[in-house]
Amino acid sequence: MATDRDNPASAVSRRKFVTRGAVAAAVAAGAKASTTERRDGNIKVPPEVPASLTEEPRPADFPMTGAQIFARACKQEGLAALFCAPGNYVVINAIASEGIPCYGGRTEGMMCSAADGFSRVTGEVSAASGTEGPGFTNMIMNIGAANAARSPLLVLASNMTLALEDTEQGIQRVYQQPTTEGMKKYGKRLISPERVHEYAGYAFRQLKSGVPRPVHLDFPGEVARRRFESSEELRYFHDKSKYRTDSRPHPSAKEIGKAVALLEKAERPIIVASAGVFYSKAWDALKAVAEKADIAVVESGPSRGHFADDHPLSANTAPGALLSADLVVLVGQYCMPNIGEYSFDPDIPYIRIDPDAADIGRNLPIELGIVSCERAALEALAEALPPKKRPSWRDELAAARAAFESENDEHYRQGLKYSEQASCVHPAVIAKGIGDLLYHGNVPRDQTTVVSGGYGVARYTRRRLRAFRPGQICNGAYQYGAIGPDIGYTVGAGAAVQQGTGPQAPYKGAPVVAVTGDAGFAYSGMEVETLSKYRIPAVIVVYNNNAWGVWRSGESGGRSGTSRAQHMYLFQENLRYDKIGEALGARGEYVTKAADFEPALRRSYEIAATEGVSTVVNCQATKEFWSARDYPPGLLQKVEPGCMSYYH
Amino acid sequence: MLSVLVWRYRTVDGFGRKSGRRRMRPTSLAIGTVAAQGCVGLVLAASLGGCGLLAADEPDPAGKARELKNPVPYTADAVRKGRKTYLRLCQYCHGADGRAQANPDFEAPSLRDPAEWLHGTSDGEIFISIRDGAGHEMPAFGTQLNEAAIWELVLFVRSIGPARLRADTP
Repeated sequence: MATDRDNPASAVSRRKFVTRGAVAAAVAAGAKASTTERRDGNIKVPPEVPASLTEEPRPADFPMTGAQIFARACKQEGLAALFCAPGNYVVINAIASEGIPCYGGRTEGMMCSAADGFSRVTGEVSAASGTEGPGFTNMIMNIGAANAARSPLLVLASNMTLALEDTEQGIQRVYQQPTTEGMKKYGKRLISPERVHEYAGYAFRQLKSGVPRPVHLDFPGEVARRRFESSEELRYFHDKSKYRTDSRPHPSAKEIGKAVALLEKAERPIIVASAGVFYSKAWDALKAVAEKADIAVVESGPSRGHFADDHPLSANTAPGALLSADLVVLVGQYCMPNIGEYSFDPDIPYIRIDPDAADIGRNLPIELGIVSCERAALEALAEALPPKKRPSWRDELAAARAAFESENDEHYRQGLKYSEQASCVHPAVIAKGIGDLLYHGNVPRDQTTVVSGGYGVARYTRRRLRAFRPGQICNGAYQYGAIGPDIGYTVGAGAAVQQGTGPQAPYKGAPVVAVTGDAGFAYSGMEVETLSKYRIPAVIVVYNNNAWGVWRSGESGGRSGTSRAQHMYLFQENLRYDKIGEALGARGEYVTKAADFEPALRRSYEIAATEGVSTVVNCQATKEFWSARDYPPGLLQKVEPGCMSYYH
Repeated sequence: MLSVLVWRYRTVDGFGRKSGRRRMRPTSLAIGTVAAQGCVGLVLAASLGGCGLLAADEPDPAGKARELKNPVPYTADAVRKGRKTYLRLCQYCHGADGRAQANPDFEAPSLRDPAEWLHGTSDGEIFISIRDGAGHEMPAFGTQLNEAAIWELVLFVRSIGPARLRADTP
């Protein structure tokens, strides 16, 4: 049962992930900077880790515990992975025994984000688990982020016993379900042991239908540890074919006819392809619709790649064309923007396609609402739309893309100048370096899955990150705006690539690249140890500007007009996040000059690809780069939807 | 004769709320607007040549910006256009209603309270802040918007701010 995961280094070395030219360049760069090789030889993965990872699954059979019954239901439902910190022992042990891929990290919160990141790049249900009060409450921010992203996240936590409810006997008591109010689709404290399988059905009905969001189950000891001699003791012990359906809502011919009429009338129609396109695996149908009638497509949502950036109809890198659109079709836009948040004309007409009738019409007024599974609606549209050519619209998109790239190039020129002036690395240089390595060199451009995180640095790097296939970019902060979980997402996205789950299958074992900031790294940097323990090859670029990204507010003193608050926005300068990486079993690179960034990045990628070793690339910058006055354009504005999508 | 033309119209603030009848004195520029809305840009361009508008890279000696006059008349249509631009480019920091009550990035000023406007409250100063940026936080929009659009934006800001600061208020 050994897999590539058990020996990732050999697996990746067999696959020529980086071509000879890049290898040669990396080796040359490595020789030049051999002092950057600082891995600590005393750091070792204990033998129990590979031993337990290679052990055969041992699916349970009666007599079984409640935890085992639940774990078996998870296996049958295809739960793709579990991310946890110890606690909730009987449940996580049972899930591991079933053979579901499991990962144990350093904090429950970041393992929760790992599960979220895994789902964002695979579209599959994943689970997070933590212990009782402390472990569970450590996941709250991360559950909130998954809820905003509409991720199909199964949150599991142990929760003491029913018998001692409301007492303070022992430790770690908390009422869990009220705590996740407003950030879940469904939740339940399991109180009837004989209904444990039935509630697994409740959970997966929610996770696998309609608009996904987190489901939270908490397990008292009486449920998890109850022993069942046979299925006779369980209520509703049905196969999944009996307790849920894969049937999906389809559009009516009348609604499709109306949509076709509106699209026919429009001169510059555009589809916003969001999370629902990804989760319903509708990318082929989307492409068919776009190409049949020359309809532009722009992406939004917590992941990107379901419409390739290099398609002539892609507006992902054509923000200048958005204002020209005269009809918008929102497909699977679960997290809804308000008027003006998307850079269309505020009065533009909208068609909205969504599986949830109760949400259609919220925030943005609609010309037409279609309740449907996204894929079913797009397939129906592809069939019903008459072929149409819109050459001037295509030309406008191409011109807008060219203008956008020119703007990026201008930022780079400015960035080089500013880097020289300030003796450090401007984010525009980082953005171009990443783009050049991943998409303009010898690395196949569809290969690398990227976690796009950070705060200010993301305003530059998002403009250069590209997606050419589903699940290639995980949009880190997304609507919840949490900057901290970036390394957690990296563990999840990296695990997905390591396992080759869903759309990551062709790239199994490839390195992942993450972008984060010094503020964000503080929240989740310990998970570099998790990456190292599981030999998940990642290159983590840390933009280190010695301050919170919102430093400007402290500098100007805000409305109070005093800078007395400024110290609260600052860190010590020149901190060495690369050394933290080294201390946790990864490599470290410290980059203080613009010219050194791309060689360091290339070196790190090569070592990740061939040795399965992660690197923290610490890029030294300065907080003043966010000043629009001193280093224009400063903190860049974002334009949504498209490659800069962040909020929605 | 045109210079004495006075008409009454129903003002509409940036959110489409009617705020009663107001009196507006047209300037020569306003006449162009009334004649053909599509000509606003042309009229504006002609007027700017004569008002000595500051160049983007020119410092602001002796409060020159303060003296700039908005060549676009305060009309419901101009405010509506300004609102469109506002919703696309400004609400991220200043909020959909201009109150800037949610500031995830930094502490932006409320556009409804001139006491918080650190870079001036005159039309010209607002224009320059939008075009060239202000302080560390406010980016320059001069590359994204032509001058007519910026002046319309100024009018929208006026429409949601105190009525006493509007162009049509004596």
